[in-house]
Formats: sequence, structure tokens, C-alpha cells
Amino acid sequence: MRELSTSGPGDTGMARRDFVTSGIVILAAGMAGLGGTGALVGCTQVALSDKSAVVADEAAEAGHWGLVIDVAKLNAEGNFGRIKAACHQKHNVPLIHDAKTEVKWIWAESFEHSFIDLENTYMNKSIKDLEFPMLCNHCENPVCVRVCPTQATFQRPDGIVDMDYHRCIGCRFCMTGCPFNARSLNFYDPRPYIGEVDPGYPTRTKGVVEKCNFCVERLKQGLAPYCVEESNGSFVFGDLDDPGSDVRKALETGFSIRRRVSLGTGPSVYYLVEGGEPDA
Amino acid sequence: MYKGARVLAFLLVFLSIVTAPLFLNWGKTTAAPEITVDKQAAGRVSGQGGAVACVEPVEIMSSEHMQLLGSWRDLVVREGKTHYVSSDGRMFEMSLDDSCLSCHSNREEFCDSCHEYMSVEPSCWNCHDGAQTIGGE
Repeated sequence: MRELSTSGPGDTGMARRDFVTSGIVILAAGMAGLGGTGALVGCTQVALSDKSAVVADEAAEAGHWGLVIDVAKLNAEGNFGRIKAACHQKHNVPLIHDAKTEVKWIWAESFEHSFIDLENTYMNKSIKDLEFPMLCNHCENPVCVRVCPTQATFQRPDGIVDMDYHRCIGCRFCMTGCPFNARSLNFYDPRPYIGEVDPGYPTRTKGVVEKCNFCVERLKQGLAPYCVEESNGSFVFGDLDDPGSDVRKALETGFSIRRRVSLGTGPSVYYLVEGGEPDA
Repeated sequence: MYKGARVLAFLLVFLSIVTAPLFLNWGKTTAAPEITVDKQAAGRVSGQGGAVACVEPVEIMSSEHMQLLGSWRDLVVREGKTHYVSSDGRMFEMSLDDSCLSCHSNREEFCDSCHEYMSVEPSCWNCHDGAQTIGGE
């Protein structure tokens, strides 16, 4: 065994006190250097974020956006295919022919599949046979927002439950939480499944969840959602908080139902089952 | 030194592995790409024929466009803001597709060449500029 150095402070030329002091000085100098760069980084960030970002004047705003669907009118018009096509094409939703991995923002279901808690053994055939459009309900108490670990999905002050695709990690908690099956995961790179990419809206990427966004990109320009535009009046969109709004007026005209209200999520999509005009 | 020969031998091996990239790429330095601006597209955007100045001064844009785009992303997606007022008071729509790429329509020369040179792979194009990305491939 070699002898460990046992030389004391006295015979190395540096006293223990000097050694400790110089250590502290070096450490302090290092910290100061770090602090200096930190301040520099802080400065440049302020230089950029100092600018005011503004909302355009033409943006449509509301306290609580809601959608009322006159189901009888929609079925009479028979234009749901056009509505779905417009929504999916404009938002670059991939077309995948596999029920397990398909991506959908709006789709049609029968009464018994959409209102499972309202279905009765014997009921009016004309209602039973109606096609009900399904989409994200933009709930008042959205489960998806509560369970999202990255806050990729969030509720805007106007009630819209929006997605920040940049933050989505594809964990699918939101899909499990959503009682309406309104969310789809991109199991594949969606781009090969998009016929023609619309440059007006970004595509998504593999491993990202997507859903209806009430056309927030159009509301910014003061325009109604695509489904409303294509619906020929059977979809009514507006502010549920405003008693004079189109949606509130439409809700006055007949009996409306929402999906799975007993769960307490507070859907913002209403279905008028009796049409606006008395039955002819 | 205890087992000095072995220590030195493995030290040599360690150092040669760590510094390998340096020696392997010795003398292979390539010139930084020349960034070109699509003058025609820029002129179309400005509406005056000549190129319009970028959102912020060029030095800031070249060193901090990622921070700017990151803050735009959060402002637009999460806060619902739409427009940005630059330091010299001009207003721009905060949109990578509609604002940035309408001027810098030559993405391959303007964005990709430099990103390739710097060996960074931004994930912007996974979703944005879809029509051109798919068309170009």
C-alpha cells in the first residue's frame, strides 16, 4: 500500500483557510457569470414579449358558444354528407376506413346510439329513424380538460374546448374521459390519408388527438363554422348567454335534448327534436 | 502509478472516442448557406413591388425567430390573439402559414437550408405548410 498524503496545511504552502476562501471566491465568480447570462437572456425575451398582441376587430365573440341542431330539418334536407365533407376537407381530417383508427370531427348516429339514456323500447319511429349528427359537445365542465396532463386541451373563456396540438403527447386520457367519443387519435401520419391538403388549416401529426374546434379559426374572422354555413339553416350557432341570440331563439321553438346530461358535463350542443314549425 | 499502463491505455481509448467527431470531420467544414429571400413573393405581399421589411429587424429574426414563433403560437392558440404589433408599430397577423410563408415562399432555400446546416430539425412542417410539403415530396 502506498502512503496516502498526510501533509498538513502548514507544509503545502496553502493554508486550509486560504484554500476554503479561494474556493468561495471562485464559486462566487462562477455564480456571477451565470447570473450575468441569465440577465442577458431575460433582456432579449422581454424585447420580444413586450409587444402587445391584439385581437382583430372582426373576431366574433361570445360568453358561451353553443350549437342547436334542428334534427328533423337536417334529415329533411338530407345534406349531412355535404356538411361532414366541408368540415373534414377544410380541417384536413384524414379519411381512414377502419372503425378503430378512424379520425372524425363530425359524424352521424342513430337515436339509440346517441341518446342511450333516452332510448325506449317503443318510441316514435320517425324519431328513432332520424340521423343525429355527433360532434364535440364543448362541455361546460369538460372531462378531457381535467384529465389532460399537459393542458393540451383547454377551455377558452368563450366556452370552446380547444386543442393545442403542439402540446399533445397522445396519451389518450382525454379520449378515455370523453363520454361522447368525440376525440380521435392519429394512429398514423395523417397526410397520406388526406385527399388534397387545404392550406388554410394545418394538418396534424402522428400521435396527436384531434376533434371539432367549433371552427375557432373562422370565428376569429367573424365567420360561422363550416357546418352552420353548409347546413341551410338546420344548424344554428350563437351565444347561449345572450337571450336574444339565434340559438336561444331556436331553443324557444321546440323541445330540445342534449346528450347524457346526467353525467354533469354540460354539453353546449342541443338537438331540437321537434322542428321549428308545427308538424304539417 | 497503480496499474498506470492500463489507466493510460484506456484514457487514450476514451479520449480518441470522445474526440473522434472532431478528427473525422477535420477540414470538411462547409460554407454556411446563403439565405435568399423570394423577392417576387415579398413584393406581392407588400403590394409595392419591393420587398417589405420583416416583422422585426433581420438580426433579431435570425437569432430569435424561434422564440418569436413560440410566443405567437401560444398567443394565437391559447389566448385567442390574432395580430402582433412589431417594435416599429406595424401590425402583422400571427400566422406561420399566412404571414411568414407568404413572403418566404421559398421554404427550401430560406428555412430548410439553414436548418440542415445547423443540424436542427424543427417539427413545424409536420403540420404546417402541408400542401407544399406533400407536393414537394
